[in-house]
Amino acid sequence: MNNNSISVTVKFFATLRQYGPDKDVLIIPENSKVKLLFDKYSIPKEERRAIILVNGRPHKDLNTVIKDGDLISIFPPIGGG
Amino acid sequence: MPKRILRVNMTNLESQFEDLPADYAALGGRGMTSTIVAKEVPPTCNPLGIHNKLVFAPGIVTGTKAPTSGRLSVGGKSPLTGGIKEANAGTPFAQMLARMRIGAIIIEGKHAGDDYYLLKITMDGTEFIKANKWVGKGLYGVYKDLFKEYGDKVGISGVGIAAELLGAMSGVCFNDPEGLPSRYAGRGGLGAVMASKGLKFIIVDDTGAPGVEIANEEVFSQGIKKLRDALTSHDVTKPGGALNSYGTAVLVNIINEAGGLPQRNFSSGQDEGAEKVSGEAKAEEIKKRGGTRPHFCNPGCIIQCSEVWVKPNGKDPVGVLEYESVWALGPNCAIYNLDDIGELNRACNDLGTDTIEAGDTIAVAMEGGLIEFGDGKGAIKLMDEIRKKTPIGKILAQGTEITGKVFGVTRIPTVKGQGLPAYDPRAIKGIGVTFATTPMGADHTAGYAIAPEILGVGGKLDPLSPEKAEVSRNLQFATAAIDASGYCLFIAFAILDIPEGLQGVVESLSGVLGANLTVDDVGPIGKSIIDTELEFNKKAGFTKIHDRLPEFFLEEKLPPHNTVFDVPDDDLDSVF
Repeated sequence: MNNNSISVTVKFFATLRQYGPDKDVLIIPENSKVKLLFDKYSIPKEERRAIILVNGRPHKDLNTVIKDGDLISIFPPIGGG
Repeated sequence: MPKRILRVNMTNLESQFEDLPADYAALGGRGMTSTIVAKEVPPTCNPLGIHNKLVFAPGIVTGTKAPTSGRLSVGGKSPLTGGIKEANAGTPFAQMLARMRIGAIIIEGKHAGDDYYLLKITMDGTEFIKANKWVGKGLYGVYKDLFKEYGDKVGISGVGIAAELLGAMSGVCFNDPEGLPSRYAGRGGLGAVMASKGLKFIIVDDTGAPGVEIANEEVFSQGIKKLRDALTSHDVTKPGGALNSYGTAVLVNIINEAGGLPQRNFSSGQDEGAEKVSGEAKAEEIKKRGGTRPHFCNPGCIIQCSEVWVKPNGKDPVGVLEYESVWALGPNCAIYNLDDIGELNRACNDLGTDTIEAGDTIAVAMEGGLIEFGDGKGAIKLMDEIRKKTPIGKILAQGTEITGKVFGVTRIPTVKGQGLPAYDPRAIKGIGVTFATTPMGADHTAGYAIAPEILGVGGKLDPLSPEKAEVSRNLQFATAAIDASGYCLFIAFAILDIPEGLQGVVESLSGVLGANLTVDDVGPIGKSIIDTELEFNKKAGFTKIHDRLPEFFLEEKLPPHNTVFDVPDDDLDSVF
């Protein structure tokens, strides 16, 4: 990991697990956005209306900038109760 | 044949059909039950005494071709909260009542002596049959017997052993389409109200029923088409979507990731073990074992979030393991084993208890040292204490608050005596406002702020922000209206985002009623129902002081966000 890289933990859930791992730790370039993770796992366009949590905080989107050590949790649109 | 009310007097075992009063014509579901309870039940009465009444009412569109509309409300004064109660279930029983043009069943009086009765309702009338032979027996076996005796086309409502103990955690049980005793109007101890009157079962046979009268077919058809389009296109409710694929327990992982899934009796909001009992893990097991997924709780549902959980050998079906049940009987008790949770859920269904109240009760019993946290087998044994009607079982059957007090626990997660559902209000504050202020006692379905706070449905709000009075109020009004309609609350996921879907709902209601409702009427309809409920509670002795969360939510920080519930009291008081 060089000075310009950061470490991120990514988790995919529910129907998105057909594309991405349950959990993985990645080294990615600094200032990367969440979109990079979707590209890396080739998540189709129609699946990109996802619910994205960063460190347990919801309502993040593809343009959210990832910081070193972040935990990114990615869900398809879900409901229940 | 006009819509009717069936009034059942358990004191003298008489019943009569009455014409539905004109001012009840536009009521259904929760609107009907709360109106009747407020009008006919003295608010200060003993919930288990002669003056309380138990009211069953299908929704306005229930029994029609409207999608996802097989809901029924059960109402009365709650022995758990001491306030008005509406508990809601999806079941073919609801559709049968509606097709028989029974707008409400009102159970009143109280039979003297120890006999229990079964009430049979057909188009020819009613019949009281002694039900003592099923006393003390589990409902899985009893429902099998009843279907054998009365035919597999009937609908069954019943109460179990927990209700025989007059336990405040007892629910009113309904059959699912497979005949399993797995669909509950669970909350608030209404099962004990039914048992207190000497009524054990209601059997409905809708042979020859005329069906629901629809005043304007054209408007109705146009409305249900719009709703169907919304349900089949919205990502949450569509076939193959997450709710349909994984069931309501698809929420386990997201609420855990958000740090709001209560663990070990509300002492943490997150645990790695939750993944083992997630909707994803459960769906995989069901597939492996040969259970059923997806499945519907009543015919005509598009969402189909239900399922049939079975043992590892593919046998002994339990029915659905809902998100709330999995959480209450699982992570809340530090139990991270789906088989233990499945058997606990089976015990709840068999004994006739609400799964949320049972899970909260076991968790405080664990905290009180009765058994260790995480002891799934021990928890199943505790449920057996209820089955055997031992002194411990009788304490547990009274629910979270009483059990907590008996065992010297100070962290008792209740509001108005009712155990909290599967969201910690310190991490998700809008749902905490709903828990505190709904006339029902802690109830997530009363105003599901999780939708905007976590799921991004109907807006996007920061779950940690305390400014939630307005969203909770609006959701509570909208919810009361949906609970009156007969539609499942889950249609809200679609209609909060798709305006045509909401328009369709309103048109379908107008079509059935021959009314001219608009979208603007929804809020006021809900508000009038809640006003009725609040007025009842006020007369029953409730004040603003009862609209508060237990102190530990304000004092103990919840990991991982390390926050407390900091919504000011003035904000809580501003909700209604």
